[in-house]
Amino acid sequence: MSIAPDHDTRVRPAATREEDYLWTLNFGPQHPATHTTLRLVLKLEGERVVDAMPEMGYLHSGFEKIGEHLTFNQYVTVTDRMNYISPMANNVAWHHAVETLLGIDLTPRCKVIRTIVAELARISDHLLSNGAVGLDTGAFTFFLYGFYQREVIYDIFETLCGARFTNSYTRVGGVSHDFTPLVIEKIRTFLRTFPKTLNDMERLLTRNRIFVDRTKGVGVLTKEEAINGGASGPVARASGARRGSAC
Amino acid sequence: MTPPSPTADIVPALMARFPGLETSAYRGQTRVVVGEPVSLEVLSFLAAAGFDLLVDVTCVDYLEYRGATRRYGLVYLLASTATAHRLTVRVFVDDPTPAVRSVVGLWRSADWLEREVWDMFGIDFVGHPDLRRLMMPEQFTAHPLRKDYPLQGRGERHNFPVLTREDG
Repeated sequence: MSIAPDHDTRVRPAATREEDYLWTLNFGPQHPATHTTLRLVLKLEGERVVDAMPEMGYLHSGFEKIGEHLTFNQYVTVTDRMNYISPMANNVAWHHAVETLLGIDLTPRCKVIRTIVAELARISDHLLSNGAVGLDTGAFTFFLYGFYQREVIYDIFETLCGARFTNSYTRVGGVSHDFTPLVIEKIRTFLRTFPKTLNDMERLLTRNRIFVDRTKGVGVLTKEEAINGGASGPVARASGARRGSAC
Repeated sequence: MTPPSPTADIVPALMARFPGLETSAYRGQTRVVVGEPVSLEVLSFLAAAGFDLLVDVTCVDYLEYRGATRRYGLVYLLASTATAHRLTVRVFVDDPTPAVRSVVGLWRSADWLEREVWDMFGIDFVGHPDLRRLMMPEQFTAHPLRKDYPLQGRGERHNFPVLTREDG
């Protein structure tokens, strides 16, 4: 026996907005495509990402706090871990700052050595970054071409200072190991053989119809947005800034 | 190779507009010390004068520094992409309520950079649209990069609430 109410008692949700039909997806922090931990909460409309709210801090390692307890030559090991894709470049930058403050001048040989290793590290970094673009879009061959050359660069670093990775190569006023003739020969071999790989990588993706369709016009950052938002390096150059940094 | 110095034209114009600013140069880098009441005006002037890239906002805690008068020294690193000038702007603030006005209106990169300084040092940025912790978790209470916060922390890692499979 029930008494029918005299008004409609069905529960209705508040008026739905267009954006309530979007999918909210949690992306990370443990996810292979985030390339080390980053958490994104994505709002998806089908396959298009309409909004992304990042949550940072998973990779915060306290580098600055650690630096308060170490000497200049000890801290270079921590700088290895900052941009760990190109550790030599971080070592060079750290000791350059230290030597500028201390007023120490370097010998020309040291400057040349540091420039060479920093440039090799930068090539290795760009190979990984571009390779990761291929990896994430499914172009695995492109990724492996780049990574094979990275192995060659790691071999050069290992011959030079014993460490493939996180080298801690520089010291105040110099470097830890001098160039030997074998190192120079390996670098020359790399310089001779690398352009062919670069050519192969470019022929794979640069004018590839599928790759261009997937990436052209996606996530466009205008030049003013990039500089105002503090972008530097390849991101700024891709957006049209004349230089990758202000120097 | 040292980049060209902005002391030739921009810094004299700045000193003419804001008399009494202290400026110095060291190892090829130029810096300007600004008091908090005019910090936003000075930075607006510099943004309009061509410094379109805010490289970093950071802070130094002078708690145990000999001869320090104020505890926090904010550092604004400015750069110009057109002329490759670089300039450092220092703003000193003190306990108990360190606060400066936010420069988010000038450079959007200041959004996260100021959030980081708030997170690490506890300096309030008045006018910031969304001042919350950036790197530490939301429930964290201390400001880790202050000099009186120990390197190993105060046991936060061990007291973090853990959800087991039964709870979750």
